[in-house]
Amino acid sequence: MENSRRDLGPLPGPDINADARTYWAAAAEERLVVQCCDECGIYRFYPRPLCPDCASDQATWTEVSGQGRVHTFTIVHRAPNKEFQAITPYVIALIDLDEGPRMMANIWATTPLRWPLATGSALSSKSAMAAPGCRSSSAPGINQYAPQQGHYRWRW
Amino acid sequence: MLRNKVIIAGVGDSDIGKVPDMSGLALNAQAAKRALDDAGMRMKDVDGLLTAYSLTEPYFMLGTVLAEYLGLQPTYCASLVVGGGTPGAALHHAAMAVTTGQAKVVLVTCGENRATGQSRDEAVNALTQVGHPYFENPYGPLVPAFYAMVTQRYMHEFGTQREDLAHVAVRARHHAVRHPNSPMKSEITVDDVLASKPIAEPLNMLDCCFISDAAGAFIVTTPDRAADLANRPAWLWGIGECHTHEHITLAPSLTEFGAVQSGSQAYEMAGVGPKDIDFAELYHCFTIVPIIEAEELGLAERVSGGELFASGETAIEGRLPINTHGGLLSYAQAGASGGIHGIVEAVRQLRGGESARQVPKHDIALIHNEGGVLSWHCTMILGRDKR
Ligand SMILES: [Zn+2]
Repeated sequence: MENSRRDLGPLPGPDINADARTYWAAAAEERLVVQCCDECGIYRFYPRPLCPDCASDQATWTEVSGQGRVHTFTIVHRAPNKEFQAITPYVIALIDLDEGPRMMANIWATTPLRWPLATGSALSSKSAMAAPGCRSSSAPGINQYAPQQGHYRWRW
Repeated sequence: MLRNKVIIAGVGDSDIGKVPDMSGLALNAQAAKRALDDAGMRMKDVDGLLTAYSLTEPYFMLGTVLAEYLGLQPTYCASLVVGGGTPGAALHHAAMAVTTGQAKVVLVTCGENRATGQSRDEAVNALTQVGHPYFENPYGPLVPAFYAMVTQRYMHEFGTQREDLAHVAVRARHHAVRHPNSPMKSEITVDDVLASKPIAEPLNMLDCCFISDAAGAFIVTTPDRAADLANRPAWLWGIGECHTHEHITLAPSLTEFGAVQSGSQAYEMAGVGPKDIDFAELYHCFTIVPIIEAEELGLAERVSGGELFASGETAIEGRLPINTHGGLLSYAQAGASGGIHGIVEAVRQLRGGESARQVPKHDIALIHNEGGVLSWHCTMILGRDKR
């Protein structure tokens, strides 16, 4: 992806319902949180009241490392709305968090991503991606990011 | 156990392609009328009705609306929503309805005016409805992006080639141009597919199905009606379903899906195996999908689904003809209609006489529908005769 194409601008914020509220509230503070089951200890995503493994209704929101690996990705040329059209082509990926759960994300990279180069590429969110809900003018723009040692930055 | 207890008595499809002078309901009515004519039945013979959903005409109770529109007062009626898999689900439900006596004759019809009944923006917007509203759509995916991610992973793990995918589209078009009702009239090449506009890499425009105005219909009843029909019925030998997830984020795997399970249920009920299948109508909204399905259903070895299409074995005259009408890629895709055209085509092929695209061996057909992002699967096995 060319840096010059990336004027990140405000992307549409997420729709939020009661299940999603805690997650996105943390994301707005640039913290990545997922639920961890109090009974079986399994991390789950997306958030919901019952553990899909043991059906326990007891869980604790837990901040996770933001480290993960790319399971798959696509470079999108046809976007659903004008905000995303403005930044095509962009990358959507499925990320396996080191803690276990899989989630969807955008990857911002300054060099073209090519499979299988990115297979299992390590990811880090420690560089504080702007969450979709974060519209603060101080939100970091993509131009600040360069790949480091095969690590890609991602926006969750 | 439904084997030998259910027949498809008639099939029909509407005008297909761009049909701006007909509403979505009218397309369904036209397909229904043609299916009834094909069966030698009248509308008043119908006491059960199953339909799907419509994005262009989103009535709250579409099944009931369609019954009203057709002048029916059925004792069994519903609209089902399992995406592209809906026609298969409807066959399964209709089969259970007629075998339990809930209805005697069930009309199944699916489709909508997807091509002309909505603006381009609405059409694109409709494609976001498959994504999870809170945890996928914020990242800007359309349906092709989900299938592109499956394709990417599949290519990575199994070495499926970009050209293999292109061959799926080329074969589909080759068959569609032989269908008198197909809107597609000219052949395409592998190079055309590879040179078409990128949509979501590695999928290009010609790897993706196009949207149509279309509806299809079939009539489900019990074998005691077989003698009265205008045309030869198809016999339901086996049917199976499996649902593993809805959103791609929660798919247990991007290389193993529910077709293995739905297929094995269908094979077991039918008492046949993959080697017995004469031809198949697989779902193919995107070029990767029939490759995956062929492998999961045992029609090709794992990893060699791509070669199956590239080698020419799936041609009309090949060892295992697949998608003999052109399928979703080159015949029609209008919401839930995509899968129903495969059922309609299978019944026609089983009867024989489809001239330019008639398969030489036509005793046993396999049809596969899927919905969501390879989320919901239904495998059907139909026979020309009672099993
Ligand atoms: Zn648990």
